[in-house]
Amino acid sequence: MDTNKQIEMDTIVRPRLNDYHGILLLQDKVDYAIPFINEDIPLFVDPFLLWKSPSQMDNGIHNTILDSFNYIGHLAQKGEKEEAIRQLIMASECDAVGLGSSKTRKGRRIGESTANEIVSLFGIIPQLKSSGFTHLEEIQLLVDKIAKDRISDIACNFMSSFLIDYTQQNCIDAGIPMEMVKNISVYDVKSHSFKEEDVELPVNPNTHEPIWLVPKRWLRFSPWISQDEYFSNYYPEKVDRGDFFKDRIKVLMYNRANFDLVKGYIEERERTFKDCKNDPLFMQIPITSAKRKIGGIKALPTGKIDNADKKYEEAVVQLMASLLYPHLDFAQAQSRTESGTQIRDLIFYNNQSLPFFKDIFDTYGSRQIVFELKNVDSLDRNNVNQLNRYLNENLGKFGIFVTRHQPSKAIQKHLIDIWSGQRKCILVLDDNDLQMMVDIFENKQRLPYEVIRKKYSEFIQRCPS
Amino acid sequence: MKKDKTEQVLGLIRTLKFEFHELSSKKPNDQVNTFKLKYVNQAIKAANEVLKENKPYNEFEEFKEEDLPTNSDVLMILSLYLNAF
Repeated sequence: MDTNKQIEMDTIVRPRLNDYHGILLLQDKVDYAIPFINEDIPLFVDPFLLWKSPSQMDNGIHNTILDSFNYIGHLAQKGEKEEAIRQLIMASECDAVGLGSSKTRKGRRIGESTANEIVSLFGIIPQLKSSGFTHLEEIQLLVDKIAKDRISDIACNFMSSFLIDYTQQNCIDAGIPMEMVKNISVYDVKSHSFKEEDVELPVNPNTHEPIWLVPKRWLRFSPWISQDEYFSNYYPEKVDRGDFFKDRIKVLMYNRANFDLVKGYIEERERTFKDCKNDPLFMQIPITSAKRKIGGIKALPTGKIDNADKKYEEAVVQLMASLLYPHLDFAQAQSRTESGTQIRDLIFYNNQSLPFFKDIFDTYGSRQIVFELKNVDSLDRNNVNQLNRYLNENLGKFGIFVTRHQPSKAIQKHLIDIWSGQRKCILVLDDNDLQMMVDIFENKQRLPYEVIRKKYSEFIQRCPS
Repeated sequence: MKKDKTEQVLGLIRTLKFEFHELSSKKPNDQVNTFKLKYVNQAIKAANEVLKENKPYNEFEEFKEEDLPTNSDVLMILSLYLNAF
């Protein structure tokens, strides 16, 4: 990794691919989920979303995935079981898409015995033998240790050719640099086998591993046809009325012998397809909930009595992330310790999507915007100095306190002195400002971020020119 | 000619005041959106030109967009302008 960029990345909280390249992207405006560099996106590809999609292309890809998967069964029946198992193991992990709950972007393939178990299904279940799977997700109901992450990875590998084209196209559009990656395993639909190819792809700057982008319309927290849903709802209601198996493994075995039950479940899920929607990468809280949150914040005492500080921080995190969406993408709520005190920050990516935030980037070099939360009666010099030390060349010289009351005259003067001496801008939002942001969120005449802009212009007016 | 201009501005301010009276009676503390503010400011500028030194406040020229004025703020200023004519 380029040393300069490495230093920059170390100071960015939860960097994304575009942050590394200094490209401004707004998650709301792009068709794909923007990948993180050091961790996975906590969602999965749900093949059902491709099946139910009104787009012929998505349906076509769903068919391709199934054909390719069923071909594994065909191989096994032809007597090429070893090749079938090899292909299935190859398809079982897809690190390049970076989906799931891993903190490391690195997963493991399935073992030979699990692969063997899946391949054997084509032999032991007559319906599968004759017509194959109609949904990839059915495997979850027949084999243990196969869950949503595997389904997602298998689907991604069987559509690898599409995902690579999609990634290249979007990288060209956004200007994300790509490099030639050797020996990428790509599934070839014509020959029904994995082939190694050299392709241009964006890479993870730390590991040099390739990255594939995935359309966000295909992502869900858990698949529509899901193991959990089957076990907790369908199975106890429709199959077992209390005196049957409680053990999952036994249920899986029972399902293999009674495949019609699985079919029944699948048909029911297909009938209710209208309720199946992709999960958004960020969920904005509704207006009523925002009003409840601000009410709760105002009612809290200052200080730490009854964990008031924790409750305050929790409410402000949820409120701010929603109020500033979609203009600022929420990066993370994080804690740091300075001189033995725990400090809670809220960090947003500064996508410079509005002139005000572009101005903040140009003036203060803020690639991320820091909010520091303080449930205190009044800010003191210590609080200000802590945030002041935290704002530096790398993080940017613009920070915002979210606290309960407007600061004293002395502190206001101190903030102006910091601006005069070090050209660092620290704004203070109090309960009334939060209330105003919520009001604007509700009445929709203006945008909630404009309260920050207002505070900024008031602050600059007070500063010596 | 000058009289026409005065009449025209007066008509504008009067209509705007009526509209903001309606808005303000329902939601006095709602922020005014940028579209409305743009046209209120145009009317106030035209009024400043006509009124010259007779305008209500010396330091008030127009609303600043980033100040987030509310319906009742705008109504107050429009009433003062109407009085000044």
